[in-house]
Amino acid sequence: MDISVVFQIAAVGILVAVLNQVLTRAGREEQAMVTTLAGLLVVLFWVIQYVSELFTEVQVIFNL
Amino acid sequence: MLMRLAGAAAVVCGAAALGFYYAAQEAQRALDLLEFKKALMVLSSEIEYMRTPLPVAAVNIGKRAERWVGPMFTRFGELLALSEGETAYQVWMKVITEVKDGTHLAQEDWKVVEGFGKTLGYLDRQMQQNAIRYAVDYIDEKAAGLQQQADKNRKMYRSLGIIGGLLLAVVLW
Repeated sequence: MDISVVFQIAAVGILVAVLNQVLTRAGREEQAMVTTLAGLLVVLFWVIQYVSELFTEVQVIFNL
Repeated sequence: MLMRLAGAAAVVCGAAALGFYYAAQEAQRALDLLEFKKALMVLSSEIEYMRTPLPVAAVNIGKRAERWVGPMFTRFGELLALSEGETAYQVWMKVITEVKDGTHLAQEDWKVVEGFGKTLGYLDRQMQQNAIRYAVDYIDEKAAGLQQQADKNRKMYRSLGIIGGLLLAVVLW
């Protein structure tokens, strides 16, 4: 597994958190919510293949 | 790696520039409205104290006013002096369609500007002053709200630009 993806996810997390704060302060709660959701989706898109790999590994280990 | 860094820097700079651009645009509508108000005040005194005919008054205002208001009043005065059989309102509307694209005013502002044009040229002095006062009141109220909103939004657009750029750079990395 490429370790850089962890740092990327961390960076996205920090930036989305700050963006969320900025938008909430400006009274745009809805956009803040959408931004958080978008960040979540991007990160999910990145990790989905690793999650699927994990499931296959588990299947192989336990002979399911 | 170097190429990548350069690309990321370009993305961040571009997004930040966009943010700053929007921040700068934010106050423009209020400034445009206030310039129109200034012109209306001048028109009011031209009517009240100097009794200047409308075409001459409009050209005088056009010389003094800035932004979109200056060219608009100059053009209005010129067209009005040349017009034959057209009402001041028709000329006013013609000029408005010419200058409309170069301003930051919203649709509701244009309604007031157009409505003000309807009162030009046929009312008596007192009624004309009332019409001017009505427009000025609208501008005062709108501009105060806009300034307040602009102060708040300006900060937001700037940070949004920079942080959005960073986010995009990270996502695209």
